[in-house]
Amino acid sequence: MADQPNPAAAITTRIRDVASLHFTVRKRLLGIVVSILSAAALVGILAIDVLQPAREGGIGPAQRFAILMVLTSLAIGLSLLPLGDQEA
Amino acid sequence: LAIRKREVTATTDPSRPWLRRWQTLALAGGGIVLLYSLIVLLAYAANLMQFPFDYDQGEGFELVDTILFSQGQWPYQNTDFFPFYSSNYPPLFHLLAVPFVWLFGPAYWYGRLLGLAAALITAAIIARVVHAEARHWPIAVLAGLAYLASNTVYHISPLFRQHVTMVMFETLAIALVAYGFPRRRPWIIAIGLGSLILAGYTKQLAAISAIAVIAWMIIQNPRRGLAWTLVFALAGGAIFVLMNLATEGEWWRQAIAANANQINIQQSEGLFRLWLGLHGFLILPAVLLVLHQLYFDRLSLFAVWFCVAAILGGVASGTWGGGDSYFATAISAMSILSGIFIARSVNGGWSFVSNRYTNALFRLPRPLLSSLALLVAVLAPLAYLGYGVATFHTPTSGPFFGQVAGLLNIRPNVYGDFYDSAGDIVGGYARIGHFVTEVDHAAGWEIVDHIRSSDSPTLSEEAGFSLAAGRTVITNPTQLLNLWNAGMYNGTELIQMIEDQEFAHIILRAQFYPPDVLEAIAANYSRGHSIDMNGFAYRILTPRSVQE
Repeated sequence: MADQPNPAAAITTRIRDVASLHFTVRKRLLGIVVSILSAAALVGILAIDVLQPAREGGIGPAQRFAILMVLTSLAIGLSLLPLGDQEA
Repeated sequence: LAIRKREVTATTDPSRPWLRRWQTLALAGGGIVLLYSLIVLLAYAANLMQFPFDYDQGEGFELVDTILFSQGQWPYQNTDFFPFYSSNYPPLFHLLAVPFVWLFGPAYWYGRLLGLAAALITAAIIARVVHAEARHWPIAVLAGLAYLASNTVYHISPLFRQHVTMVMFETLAIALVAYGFPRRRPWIIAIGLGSLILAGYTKQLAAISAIAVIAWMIIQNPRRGLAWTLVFALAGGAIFVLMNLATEGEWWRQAIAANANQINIQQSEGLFRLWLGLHGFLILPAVLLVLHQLYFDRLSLFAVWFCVAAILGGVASGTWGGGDSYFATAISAMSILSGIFIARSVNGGWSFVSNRYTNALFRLPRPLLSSLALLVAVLAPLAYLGYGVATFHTPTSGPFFGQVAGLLNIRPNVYGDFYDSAGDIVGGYARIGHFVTEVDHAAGWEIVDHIRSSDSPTLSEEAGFSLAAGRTVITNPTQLLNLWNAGMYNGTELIQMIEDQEFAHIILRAQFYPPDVLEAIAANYSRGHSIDMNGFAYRILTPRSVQE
């Protein structure tokens, strides 16, 4: 009977890989991290108006600038995903 | 030009000697303009070193900090009590100038000399890095000169201010970590991170470079990156804690808590536009190299540093007290990246890692790719000439500069006989760059005579006049305003002195005092007369009781 894959062992091996002295972040992982951070930042910027309903004036120039920056960052993050295991 | 998959070679082949001649000619043209900018910078520095008063508001307070350190005192003091003075800057730049105070007494020239030396050292580091990365000495030298030719760097280099010294330590740190980390050279990494700590204790803004270095080290190898970050944080943090204990918490209160000013995004946007307009010829190749590393190669520390410094430094330039100088770090990174890009374009040797995007790129028709490579090889060397023209600044009078300005039909466009392509950056405070004249010297001494005319103290918005008169420097108005903006200011004692009209004179320029202090001044002092110095009107106020 073939060995069943052991998820716990796989995770442990992966952690060992990442913590090794030879591991380097790959383009795909960098893309995922950048995309997640950008998406979280975008939600945070838009949430300012929801969390502070008393705030007047809608989306201000600082928010517009920040939204532009995180959208650019999100696009860069997503564009790195196809590069797979290439070293970042 | 040979183009192969995985590697594009843009070197001149024997059938195109004209390309090599063209590249040499274009680089020489850029070199002439950038060398001229260096001459202007040296003349500007020589001119300012002879001026014994504030040229850029705040220089005098840097000198006061240096004097206090030379006497074994901390400049981080409680501003609630006489003389209401505190610094809001870290100590390193002032400590570097302390031996000069011991040797020569209080003076501006050595602080300005240190600033100039830091800028020249930064240019040398940039040249060394570009040569190490791309093996082309003439372009490496041009990259260093490009840093010095930037309007921003020109404005602030020969000042008694710490900003360019911070950029010097940052650039050194980046160069060492970029070299040492991939090669696992612990001593080089340690010295690099030590330089970064020195940058942080020169000016707080170096935190931006620290973010870039930490992010890049973790990308390279998370374990080693986090370990070095821990060492870095412990070393930097230990100095911080010791300073805070030694100053009874004033280091934190004055230099950190009171320094967190709000950002005016319109100011940031305006300064971004100015930066792009002036430096676009080198920003473009720098961005192209970042994109190449992002999609076709590995990210270098220089690329991460450039992006982080341009974005965070640019946004921070909109803070009160910020300005175009906050782009100086990004300009250093830009000079390195653009130098590498231009040198590679001239030398050839562009390589592309095989991946989905490379495959798509190389499916384009071969003649189109050849033409593109040729276009880059032709245009890249022109970047320094374009940049030199875009950042051009020169005096328009005098025996040499006047002749050059006349020959080029350049007329002054800022204060004094000076042309500056950056114009007057009033929104970002940097209304500087022109040369001072004998009239400015005389005006400064006239103000000093006012202070000397009475034995009572004078409240001066700039420290230079009080220092020249041999009087105690009272207050650092911008720091009082920082504290007031942060809701941490108690001006009771100072306001009482103003209401009691204890000051023989109050000298105002930009009125950077907290509003309640300005109200007390308006109620108890009235304008005597104005003296113009350096393009600014200095108002000499006297007590109303004296006038009545």
